[in-house]
Amino acid sequence: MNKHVSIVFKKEIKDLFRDKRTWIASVLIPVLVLPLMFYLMGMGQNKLEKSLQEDINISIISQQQSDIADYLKGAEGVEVIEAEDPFAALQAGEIKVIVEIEEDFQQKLAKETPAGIKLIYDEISNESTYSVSNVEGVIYQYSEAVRNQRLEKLGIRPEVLQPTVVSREAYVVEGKESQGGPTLMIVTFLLPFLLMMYPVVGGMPAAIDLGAGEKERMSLEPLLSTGASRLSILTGKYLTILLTSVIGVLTSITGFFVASRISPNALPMDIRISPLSLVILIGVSLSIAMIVSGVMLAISVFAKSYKEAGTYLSPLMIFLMAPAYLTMFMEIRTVSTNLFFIPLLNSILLMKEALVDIINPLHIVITFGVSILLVIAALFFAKYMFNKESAIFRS
Amino acid sequence: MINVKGLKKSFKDVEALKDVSFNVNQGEILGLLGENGAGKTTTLRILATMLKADDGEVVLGGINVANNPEAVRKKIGILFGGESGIYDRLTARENIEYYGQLNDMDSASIKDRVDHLSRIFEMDEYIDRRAGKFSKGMKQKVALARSIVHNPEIMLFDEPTSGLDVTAARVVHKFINSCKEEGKTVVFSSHTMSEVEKLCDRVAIIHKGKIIEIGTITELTDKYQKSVEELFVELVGE
Repeated sequence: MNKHVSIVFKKEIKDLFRDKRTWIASVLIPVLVLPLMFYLMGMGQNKLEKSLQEDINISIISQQQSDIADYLKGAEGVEVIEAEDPFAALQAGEIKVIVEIEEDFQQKLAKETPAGIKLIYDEISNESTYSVSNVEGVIYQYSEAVRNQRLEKLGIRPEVLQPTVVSREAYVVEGKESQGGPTLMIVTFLLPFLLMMYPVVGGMPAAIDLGAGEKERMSLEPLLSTGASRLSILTGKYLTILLTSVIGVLTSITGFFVASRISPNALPMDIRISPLSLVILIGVSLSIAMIVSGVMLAISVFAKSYKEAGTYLSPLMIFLMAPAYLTMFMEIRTVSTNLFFIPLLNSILLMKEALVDIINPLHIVITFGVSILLVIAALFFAKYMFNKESAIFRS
Repeated sequence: MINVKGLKKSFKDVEALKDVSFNVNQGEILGLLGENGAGKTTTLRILATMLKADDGEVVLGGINVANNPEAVRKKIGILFGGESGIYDRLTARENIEYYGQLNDMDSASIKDRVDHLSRIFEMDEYIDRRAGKFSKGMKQKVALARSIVHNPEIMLFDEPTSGLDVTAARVVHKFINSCKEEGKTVVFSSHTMSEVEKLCDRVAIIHKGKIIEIGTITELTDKYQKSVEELFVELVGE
């Protein structure tokens, strides 16, 4: 039997890797999609950052001369533009923010009562939206200067009005390293998502070709009439799909790291993964690939044609995406152990735990136990379909 | 060589085979003649161990197909009509070798056999080319070579010339005749009278899952005093 499995496996690998669709789905797409996506995102982000570093064009609407208007004209980081119609200029992108100064601003300032300034921005424009904070910062500097003058007049040191100094620091258990701060949130969502999706993306063309494809090109019946048992043929095909799924995962992770290299701003990757966590991630990912390979082969064997198999298999991706989104905002430290009994959701949760270096033996045992049962079920499902006459000869 | 007795097979509520029985002697060509849906393909699929009969017995070369299907498969070669079932991304040689390996031949025997088949089917020019761009006739030759790479004793043909042009069909006919010359036992299904008359030693007319007449062409034409075509129409109805 092993000999026949090996013959089928070698033939399928040779056949598949002569097909450019396999290269596109298992290698090119996973390797290129993320770097390309983050490169383009990074380009947009860089352009925005560059534009925010330059002086921000603003227009002032004011009925009378005011100190704040004079301050803004001389302030660093903003450039006041005299626009005939400031709102038209805002919509045309000539200015980023309109500063509307209250009519009796100067009088209120003199009476030492709060004087109003309205910042008007274009919500459709990212540059305008981000510029508001910068302009607010410049106005804050003016407010600080006025406040300090007033306190000085009253003979009060400014520090007296600042009883606390707040700073933030992530807690790290002694002997352990920081896991990457805010970056972690992106990585704990994106990496499990990829490890869930790419076994399907990588393995699907192979699954379709090896099941429905054999039926469509009428090669299944001659194959079943050879000296090889159905189980050997099925095992050879299953291993081929599993290999392409794993290749899909590996290439997507490669793409992930390439993306973080070429666009460190868009995808910062200063995260450290311990060796044990890495083993867990690989194990979980492999179990997902083993499950989906069996399910995809069974569905493909049932389908009559490439087209039908594609129609049945595409929703599988949405089905696998659901647990990734479901756990997106879950508090990983306090997640209920019961959730680890839910297939696929448990895989995502365990990967998230591994990424933040939470090693909970009970969660690991439950997740892998459930996954092993699912792998067995998927293999039986594939075997059942491959032996079912009405599925094999469905046309 | 082939003994089929009381074969029955249903697909849900459709009775595909009601009671099929026939024998085929060694070196004989039996033609299964019937309309589409008469039960020809189901019979051949049961003989090739792809389907399990609900009832009845099939013995090929002394082996009961229900008891040892894998041993039976090593004794048979099968060829289907229509699409040839060739892998387009493999070369003609790789296609044939694959079936040799699956039928437990050793590398040296496979090489000799492929070279031999390449010569007799005149495939030398394209034996190492990928099959994707082959004509239908070239593909059918590869399929023929693939079906006999392990030199089976029994050949099963399911409408092998269906969809082929005249030249390609002639290659198949020549091949079936060569099987007889080599002493192979052949079961051949068709709905083309001329083909059956030309190739078969005996004919079994199958209709609605039953063998309704069986005999040599001469026996049948003498018995009914009609041509095979007229006889067929009379037995199965217009």
